Amino acid sequence: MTTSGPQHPHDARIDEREWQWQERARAPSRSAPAAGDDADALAQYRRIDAALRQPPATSLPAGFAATLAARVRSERRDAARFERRLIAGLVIALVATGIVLAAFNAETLAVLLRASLGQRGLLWAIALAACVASSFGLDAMRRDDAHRARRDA
Amino acid sequence: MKVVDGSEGSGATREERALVAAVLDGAPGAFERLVVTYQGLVWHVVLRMVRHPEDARELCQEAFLRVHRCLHQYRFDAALKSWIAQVAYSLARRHLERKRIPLAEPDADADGLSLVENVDDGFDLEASASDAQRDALLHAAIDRLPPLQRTLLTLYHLDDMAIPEISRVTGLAEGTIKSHLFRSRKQLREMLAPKIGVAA
Repeated sequence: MTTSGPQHPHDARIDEREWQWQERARAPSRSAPAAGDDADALAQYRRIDAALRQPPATSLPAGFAATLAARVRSERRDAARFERRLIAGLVIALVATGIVLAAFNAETLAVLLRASLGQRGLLWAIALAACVASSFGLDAMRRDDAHRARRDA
Repeated sequence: MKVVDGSEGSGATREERALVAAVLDGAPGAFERLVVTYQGLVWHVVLRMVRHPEDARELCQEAFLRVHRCLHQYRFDAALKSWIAQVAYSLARRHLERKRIPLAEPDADADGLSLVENVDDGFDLEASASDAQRDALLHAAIDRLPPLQRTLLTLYHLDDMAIPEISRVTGLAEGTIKSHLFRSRKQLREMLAPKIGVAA
């Protein structure tokens, strides 16, 4: 229970005596009126307090929280799926761009790579790129399987 | 007793920090737990603001989705319930602005006449004698208050929030909130005193 009064700045429009009746009516203890109290005013304010404490007649439907939590879960899943697809799309676009660029500038690229890596280095670089690509692909497939299994469970 | 890091009553409790961390980590059931914990508060704020249950349900859903999206922005400088209530209040307020519904009546403090007239529409005041009728009359009067006053009264009485906490939720100065609370309750009393009687 919280009360307030003296700690707030004095407002000339507020009759301090009547404010105290209002606050006393709000107090949980139903003590007898003190000297100087208007018993009728106190009783009336107690009735008003009782009415104000009654919760609204209508309420949220049963299961509101569960329904809302399910909706949030579903939205979160959708967002995660969208994010995964976006990343996959970007990676595919990046790889495709690389392939197209390489195809159109194959000779220049081969000369440049041979010059910087040497014949053997170039072969190792191609092998390394293939390893990284297959590792990435396998990992993506594994994650996709795990996600599908979780969704089906 | 609440265990608070830093100043008592203003920052997040350990439980709140743990819950926030669990939601941010995507721990199973954490977000549902957060919704269950605060759905009552959010419902009170939104329904008191917009009144229409169907709109209120949609706004509650939107409020929690926003909480989920923006939870990483919560800095633990206020209680989690204040932060969540603030999100709900902002959404409800924007909804009222879109529908051009005034948040607070500018002349609500004049003499309460408009409120009396509104409440009179549905009730035979002279004949209202039983407790049930008096309570119904009182609830109708509360319902007829402008959205801001209704919400402030609800946060203060039903959700037991202190004025500084309500100030964080609504962005209003503490003095303004106190003034609204005082005038709304006085208005209800003056309007209904002859009808609600004094019997507890």
